[in-house]
Amino acid sequence: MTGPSLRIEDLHVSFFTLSGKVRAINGVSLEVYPGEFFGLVGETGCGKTVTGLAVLGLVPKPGRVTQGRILLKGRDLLRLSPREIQRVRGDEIAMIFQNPSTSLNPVFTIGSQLVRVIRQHQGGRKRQAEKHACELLEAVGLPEAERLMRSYPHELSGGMLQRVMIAMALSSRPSLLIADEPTTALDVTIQAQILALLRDLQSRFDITTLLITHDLGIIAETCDRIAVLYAGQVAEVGTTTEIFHNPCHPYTQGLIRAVPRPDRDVGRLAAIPGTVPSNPGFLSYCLFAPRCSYAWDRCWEVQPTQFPVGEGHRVACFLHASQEVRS
Amino acid sequence: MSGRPLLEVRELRHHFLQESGWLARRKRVVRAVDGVNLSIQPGEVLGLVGESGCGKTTLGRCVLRLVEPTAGEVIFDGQDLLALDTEAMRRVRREMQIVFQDPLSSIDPRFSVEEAVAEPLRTHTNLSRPERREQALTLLEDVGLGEQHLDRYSHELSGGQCQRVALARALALRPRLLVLDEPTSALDVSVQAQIINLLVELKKAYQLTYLFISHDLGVVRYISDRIAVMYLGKLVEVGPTEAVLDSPFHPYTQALLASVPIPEPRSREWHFVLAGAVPSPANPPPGCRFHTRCPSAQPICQEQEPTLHPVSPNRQVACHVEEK
Amino acid sequence: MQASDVVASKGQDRQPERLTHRRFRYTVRVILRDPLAFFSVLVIIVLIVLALFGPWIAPYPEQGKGRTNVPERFDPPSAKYWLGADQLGRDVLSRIIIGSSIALQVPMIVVILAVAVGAPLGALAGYAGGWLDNLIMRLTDLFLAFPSLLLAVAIVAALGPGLTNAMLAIAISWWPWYTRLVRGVTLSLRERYFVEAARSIGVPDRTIILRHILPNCVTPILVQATVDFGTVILAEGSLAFIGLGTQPPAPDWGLMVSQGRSYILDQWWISTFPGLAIFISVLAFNLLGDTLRDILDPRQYR
Repeated sequence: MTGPSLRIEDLHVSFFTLSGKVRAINGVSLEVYPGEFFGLVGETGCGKTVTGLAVLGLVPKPGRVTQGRILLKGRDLLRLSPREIQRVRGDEIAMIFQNPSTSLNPVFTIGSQLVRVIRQHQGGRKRQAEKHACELLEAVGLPEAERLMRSYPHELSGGMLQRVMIAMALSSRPSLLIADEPTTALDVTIQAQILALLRDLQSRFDITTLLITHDLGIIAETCDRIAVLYAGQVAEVGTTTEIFHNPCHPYTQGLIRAVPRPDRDVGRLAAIPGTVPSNPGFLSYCLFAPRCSYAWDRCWEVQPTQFPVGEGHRVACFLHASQEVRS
Repeated sequence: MSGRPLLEVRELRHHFLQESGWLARRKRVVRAVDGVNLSIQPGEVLGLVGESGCGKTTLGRCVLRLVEPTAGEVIFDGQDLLALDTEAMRRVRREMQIVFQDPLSSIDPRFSVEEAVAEPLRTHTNLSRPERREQALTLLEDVGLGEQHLDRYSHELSGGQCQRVALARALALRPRLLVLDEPTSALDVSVQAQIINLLVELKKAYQLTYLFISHDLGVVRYISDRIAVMYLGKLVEVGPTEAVLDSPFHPYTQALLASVPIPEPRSREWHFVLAGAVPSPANPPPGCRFHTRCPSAQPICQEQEPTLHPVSPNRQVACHVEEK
Repeated sequence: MQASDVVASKGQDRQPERLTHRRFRYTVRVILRDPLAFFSVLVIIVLIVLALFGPWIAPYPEQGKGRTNVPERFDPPSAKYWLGADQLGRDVLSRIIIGSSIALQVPMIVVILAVAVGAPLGALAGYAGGWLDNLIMRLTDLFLAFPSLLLAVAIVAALGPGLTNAMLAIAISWWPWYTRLVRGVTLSLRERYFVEAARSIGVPDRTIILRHILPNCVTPILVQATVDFGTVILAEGSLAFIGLGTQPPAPDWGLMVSQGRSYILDQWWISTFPGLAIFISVLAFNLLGDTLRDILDPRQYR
């Protein structure tokens, strides 16, 4: 395996609102390797969506990246000019969002929107672009592509719209696809179809996929490697099997134990007491300490860095620090 | 469990007209709930599951008459609710309450927590303001909040806290039945677990009966005694939770279970995924409504609609193809 | 009882008093940040001060109220009369200052009347739906079909000129706007969960409208009312301009503009300064409406 295709180094993102500065991301570092299906999981406010937006340079005002580097195949995306990042968007990195119906313009047909995107990135004539669009629609499992091209967004169901968005995202063969909660708004049976599609496309076209979600089930079943985010920091990162069979961070453990399962009884649901800190940027201790049943003095003095616990498995927790660091 | 059910629903239907077409010329009948029969025993938790458009939310509303059923009967503790006039219905409402999906918007943004929780008391009792405040405090403590929350407003609280307030309000008049409409769907995983545990405790403490509506099979399994699966306005399978989820009879239940992602890494057989989308409730397929997507469909399935019939002492299925 | 959200929210549970504090500081920050907002708040504060303390601030209060001073008529702006003297020798500045109380009172009364009549009708129409909604809306349409100023003119012409009748006329032509506004807000509120919750509790419809719907309409009404202040000033000024509003010798700004019409070429100050006063006030109220919307939006607190 060559080096990572996406590398995020010590990313910090803050929102400068009228009520004060909110640090949404407090030092996130992770690597995504080529051809991999990487999952970014966490609850509301953990910063997973902002991380995805930061990669594309789409952090909305009043937010701003205040520190860190985002390297796509060695190039720092944060140092690019607006023109250059515009070319990267859609071309090398594509993103799909949670609500497909709001991502499409209701006044134009599916076909015209697809064609416009294709021509924007690849030029070419309308005829060609239309043919390409039909191929894309078929590739994402939509039958009767030609009829679909003439339809309007409101005529399609949520699942079909999401497929159209995926088609649009794939139109220029990006090397990285970021999917931000792509199935949260969809029914369970449709969700399964879309996830199957994403995995299928990943293996067929060798696209590196970054999947952002709060659903542990989706992560477990689709992703190769996972990063668990808490309050704007990476709590734990590793392969899916490692994380689920050997969760090291107390937060990860808490999350897994808090999810009820349809296929078997889980005994008592262990809830994580307390709530996520609202403005964690100014705290100098481990952000999870107030809710952690294992916290001891060290945890209140300084924030833990990432400690290795296995093959590619890292945890930000003093429980797994080496002896010297613990004292 | 025998004895008189607390809630009984017979042939309940809710149809409404929907305008469609250019300039809203055509009107279609949407059969949101189309002939549902079920019963809930006192102290039981019945989980009602299905995907969007199946009618479970509408059914929950019909039970409380927040939405008027088009046909059928809703019998609460032996009384047909649909025959009651407004005033009598108001009195019965004390015994049945609902908790909604979006905790933040289920509390009036201009009401303090105290006012919100005490509103049922204000409506139905003659308690004075200090008495109401005291009762509100007791209720808040029962749901895990405290005195400092009495004067807060909904936008100052988290989703989990708002849902607790909604629960406190629902319990103010000591109802016997609680309809819970996706009470944890809008909450984070860790908060969801807190609320579910709270629901279990409250059920014991207040001797409640729950109609638990959800699309999350994991949560339903955890909290429900029995489960009813709904598709396009009709029930397709009913039975004890574990039995139904461990060995589902109806192909739709099987498909649902196969589609739900499980938080355990496994190599999944993607080919079992259910194809197609849910048909519109305004235009359900003829015969069995599921036949267009059913992997086991037979010719009879598109001609005749199956009815819910018992296949074992406490399990019912609506399917022509008897499959295990 | 297991650990709840109460536990472990260190430093997050803010006291209610401190939250009002935050709200105030936030409001101040919004105002200071935006020059237009700052301007509008400043002007309105000045107007209020003038309206309340006019007789003590104006250099020539008696003239302001109407006492003539014919010997010094048409005096141009000078050290003695900062904005000049009008056709009857009265200090224009004093007249404007005294006139500010009319300029503020009229919109206040008109808007209060219009809201008092229009808002409940709108809430009723929106909540009840059906034939009642239809009835109220057709009534509203009837009033809205007339150009509002023309309607006011017609009413005043029928009732006779004068300030009170002018206010009544404007209020009558104004209430439909609030009905429409409140009906729209009500329609969206009706679908919100907390209204359904109130119904499920068994709260009677009448109480739901009073306790839940109307209070939640306050913000949009307030924002609209603020902008309307400016528009009413204009409307009343227009009525006075054509002689159907306040009668002389009252220092009504519109009346002053009207009376200075004949002298506009040579003694331009008689019409211009009251005109400017109207312009600045209306502008300030319009801008205040925008600022108010920014301040009152609760989502900003997160």
